[in-house]
Amino acid sequence: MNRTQALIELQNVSKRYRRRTAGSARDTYAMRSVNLAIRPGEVVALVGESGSGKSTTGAIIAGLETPTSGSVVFVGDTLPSRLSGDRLKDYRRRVQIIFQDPFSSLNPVHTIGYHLMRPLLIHKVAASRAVALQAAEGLLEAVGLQPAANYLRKMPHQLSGGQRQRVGIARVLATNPELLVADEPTSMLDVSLRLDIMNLLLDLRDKRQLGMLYITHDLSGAHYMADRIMVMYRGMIVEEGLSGVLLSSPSHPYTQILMNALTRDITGLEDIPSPVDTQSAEQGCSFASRCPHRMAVCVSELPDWATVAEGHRVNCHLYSCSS
Amino acid sequence: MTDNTVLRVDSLWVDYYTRSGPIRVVQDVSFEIRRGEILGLAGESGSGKSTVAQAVTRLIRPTVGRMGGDVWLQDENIAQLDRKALRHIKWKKVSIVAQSAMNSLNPVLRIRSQFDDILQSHGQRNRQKNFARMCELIEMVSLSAEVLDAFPHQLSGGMKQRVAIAMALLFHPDLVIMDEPTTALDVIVEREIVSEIKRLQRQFGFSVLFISHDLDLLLRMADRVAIMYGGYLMEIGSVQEFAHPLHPYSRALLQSFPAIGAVGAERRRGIPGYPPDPANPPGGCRFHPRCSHSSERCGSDLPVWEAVEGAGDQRVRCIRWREIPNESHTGSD
Repeated sequence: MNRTQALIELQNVSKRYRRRTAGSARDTYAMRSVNLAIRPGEVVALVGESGSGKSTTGAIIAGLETPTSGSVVFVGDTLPSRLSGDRLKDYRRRVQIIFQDPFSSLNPVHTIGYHLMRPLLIHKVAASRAVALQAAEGLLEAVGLQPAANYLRKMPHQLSGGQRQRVGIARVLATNPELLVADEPTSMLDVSLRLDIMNLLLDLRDKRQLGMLYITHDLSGAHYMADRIMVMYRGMIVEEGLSGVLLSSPSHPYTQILMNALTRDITGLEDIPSPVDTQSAEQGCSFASRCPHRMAVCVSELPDWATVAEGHRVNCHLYSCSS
Repeated sequence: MTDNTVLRVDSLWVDYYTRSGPIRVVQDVSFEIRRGEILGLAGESGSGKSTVAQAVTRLIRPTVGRMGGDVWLQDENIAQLDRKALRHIKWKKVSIVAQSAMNSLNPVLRIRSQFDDILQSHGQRNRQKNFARMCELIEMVSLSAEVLDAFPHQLSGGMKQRVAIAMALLFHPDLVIMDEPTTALDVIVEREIVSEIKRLQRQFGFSVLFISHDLDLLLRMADRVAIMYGGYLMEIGSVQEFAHPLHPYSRALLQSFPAIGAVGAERRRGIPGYPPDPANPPGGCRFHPRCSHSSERCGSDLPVWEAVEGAGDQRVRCIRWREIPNESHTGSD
C-alpha cells in the first residue's frame, strides 16, 4: 500500500436526506458509513448505478454537501462540519469538480474567456486581467483547444459537446487544484470523443500529480482510468480493490451481476429477475433485496469487510460467514 | 423483394428546414430488414440515425422537413401513403418505441386508459376484451396487472419502458422500431430489457430496428448491424462480419471502447477531431477529415454504397476499403 499521506479521506461518512411525502417524513441514506481515501497522483473510480450515492460522495468531497455523520480529512486536517470564509475559499481552490453535462455547466451568456478568467481572478491566481487573459490561453492549450485566442471570444453555444467539456476541464485547472472530482465527465459525449477526454484527464494526472475521484456507471471506463475501483450500491461501498484485481475476480454478487451485464452475450432465454424495485431494509445489506445468494443474516445485519486477496476487499456476508 | 424481407428502404433522404435553408441530414440510405431479425443501427449524435427511424414511420412533419426515396413495408410504400392509409399501418404493421419512451407516456392518465386509447382508436370498443388483451400484454413483459392501474410516475424507468414495449406489441406488428429504448437506464436494467425484447421477438417473430449509440450493446444483441456517420450509412453486415469491419470509421469506433477484463489496460487513441456539422459537411467522404487512411481522392469523391462480393450482403461506403489491411478489432492498433 502506498505510504504517502492521503489528499482526502472520508471516515465513516453517512449522508441522510429527509424525504417528505404527504404528511410523513422518510429518511433516505445516500451514503452509509463510506470510507475512502485518495492519494496524490491516484485515480479512484467510484462505480454504481443511478441512485447509488456516487454523486453525493463526489459532492461531499467537492465541498458542495456536508456529511450527516462521519468526518472528512483533507491533507491531514479534519474539516469542520461546515466550511466558511477563507477556509472554504482555500478548499475550493484546491479541490475542483468537473460536471457531467457540458451543456448546462457553462453560462450561455458569457464567453469562454469569461469562464476561464473568473476563477483565475477570484482565487488571485492571476494578479490582473491581462495576466488572466494570458493564463486562460494557456489553459485552453493545455486541454487541446487551439488556436486558443479564437476560443476565448466564443460563446458556449458555438462549441460542440466535446469542446465544451474541454472548457469545463480547463476551468477546473485554473486554480491549480490538487484533487479533482470528475462526475461522469464522458457520459454525455459521443463515443468517438470519450477516449480523448479520458486520455486528457490521465495526462493531466501524470503531469500534475492530481488525485482524482472518477465517478462513473461504466466499469470498462473505470478500468481504463483508475488505479483502484470502488463499487457502490444504494449508499454502501460493496467492494473495492486494485482495478485489475477486482475486475479479474469480482466477488460481491452485485459486482458479478454488473460484469455479466457488460460482457456476456444477450440470449434472451435466461431467467429475468423481477424489475420491481423493493426498498432495502434499514439495518441489513443494501443489496439484500436483489441478491441471488441472500441469507437470513443479510436482511438483519450490516456485513463486515472481508479481504479476498491482496488489495481487494468485499463487504458481504458470504465472505465473513464462511470462515 | 423476397418474401423474407419486411422492410426495404431505398435511397432515403431527409432535409430539415433551418433559417439558412434546408440542410440534408440523411442521404442515400438503403437497407433491408428480414423477417424475425434484429438490425442494429449505430451512430453518434447528429449522425441521422433517429431521423431514419422517424422517416421510416413518416413522423417527419411537413413544417419541419421533407423526405424522399422509398420505404417499402412489405408491399406498401410508406413514403407515398396518405394520412388515412398511414393510420391503418401504424401500430398494426409498424410501431415505434420512441427515444426515452418513459416520457412518451401521458403523465395524467393511468396506464390502462392509455392502452384503451390506442385500442379504441383502432376500432376495438369491447371494454372487456380490451382489458383482457392489456393484462395479457402486461404479463408478457414480466409486469403484474396492477401496473395497469398505476400512473406513469409511480413506475420505475425500467417498468415504464416495459409498458411502452407492451403498447408497441398491441396489434402484433411485423416491425418494431426502437429508438434508444435503453439509453436512460442503468446497465443491469438495460440488460433485462434487452433480454426481454429478444425473448418476445423469438416468441412472436417480429422484426426490430434497434437504434443505439452503443455499438458494443448492438454487437451483443443484434443479428446484423449498420453504422451511420454524417447522414450516410458507412457499413452494414452481420455481427460475425463485424469481427473484421471494413470501414475505417467502424474500426476506429470499435477501438474506442476500452476493453474490460484484460489485465492492465493499455492507452488507446480516440478518433481525432469532431463529428461533422450537418449544415456545413466536409466534401467527399464525410469521415475523411478524421480518417487515418484518407487520401486526396477521399476529400473529393463521394464513395458509393458498395456490395462486398462473396460476403453475404455486407456493404461498405469507402473508396479505399480494399487497400486497407484487414485486422481484427480485438487487437490493438
